[in-house]
Amino acid sequence: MKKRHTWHKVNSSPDHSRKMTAVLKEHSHCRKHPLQQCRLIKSNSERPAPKILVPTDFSLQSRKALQCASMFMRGCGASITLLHVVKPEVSVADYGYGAVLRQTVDESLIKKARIRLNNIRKDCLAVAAHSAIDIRTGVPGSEIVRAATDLKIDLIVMGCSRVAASPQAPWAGVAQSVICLAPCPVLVVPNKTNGFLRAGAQSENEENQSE
Amino acid sequence: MKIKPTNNRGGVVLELGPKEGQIPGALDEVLFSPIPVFHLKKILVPVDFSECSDKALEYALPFAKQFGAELTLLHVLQPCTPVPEMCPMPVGSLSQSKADLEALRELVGDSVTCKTLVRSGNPHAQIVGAAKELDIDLIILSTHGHTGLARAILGSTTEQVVRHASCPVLVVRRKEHEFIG
Repeated sequence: MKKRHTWHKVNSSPDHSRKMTAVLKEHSHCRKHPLQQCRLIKSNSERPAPKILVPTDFSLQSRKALQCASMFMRGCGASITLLHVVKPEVSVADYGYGAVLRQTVDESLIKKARIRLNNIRKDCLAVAAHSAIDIRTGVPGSEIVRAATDLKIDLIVMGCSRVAASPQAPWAGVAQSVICLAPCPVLVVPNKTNGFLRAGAQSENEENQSE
Repeated sequence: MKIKPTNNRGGVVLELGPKEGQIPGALDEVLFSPIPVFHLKKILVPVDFSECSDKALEYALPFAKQFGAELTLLHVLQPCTPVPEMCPMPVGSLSQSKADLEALRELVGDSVTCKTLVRSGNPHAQIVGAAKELDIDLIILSTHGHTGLARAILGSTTEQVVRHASCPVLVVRRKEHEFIG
């Protein structure tokens, strides 16, 4: 039998495909295969509701992400946590022993963010079983990952800008760093999406017209 | 629409019905419009027959079952150019890829509508192209989780797909906190 070329694959043995095919055929008669038993976790008395983290910077991309997360909330009874990260102002200071970087946080920005997050929660997440807000300061990507770890988040839903963070570091976007380091699945919603969000909006318009 | 006076002198309360448009008020009320209904009809799962892509399929199945979506398994044969003067050749056998995808589809069973697709070319370009052509609603793919130098050298198909996809992308990894049971 000819060997399958797998040099381009990473972290996979050369015969993985054939082994997997053999395993699949062996378990094809078994109804309790893990793939067939997988189901989305729904909230019930035995298991807590899944937790969704929605980082938002109050942009259009994060609006789409929140809409998507709200759909999950309806489908799975999930709880949503809105997160906003305030970047500290970095300045160079000299206290007599050399230049040091000094980070200061503008408290007014935190207050404004809290008010906006509460408004969003009141307007869009009123039907959620449980919703919360969280405001952190620091590097956005790192803080999002840290929040997901601390709050034991099950899913992160966030927007993504098509434009890279900078020409020198095209992989340095917030979404990219979260995808690399997140402890849970990440659902990235692009701004110009033709996915189920548009399909849902069209169907709702059709229902309104039929009424 | 109802107009009611408030306790404050000179103030009124405007109550809008469900069929009436919203009055532009606070910026957040304008930005965050009512939530549309969820309709997930087509899911694309790129598969490279590695352990990581098995994880993506584990997530795709319950999504497809719960929302009644059609599943499309996509495998991309990556071309290689052994000699620069030669034209690029696809790596791997097309028939073997189809056979492996068919085996996966048999495992998925009849509970979910499942299709298979094999293409050759640049993986992320083919994935994004297939998502556009088939009008995919959601892409579920896994990431190997490379960081640092490995990421710089090997690159990431997931990163390119996330950046160029025209639909939401669910990125899963092999070892993580899960929300499927």
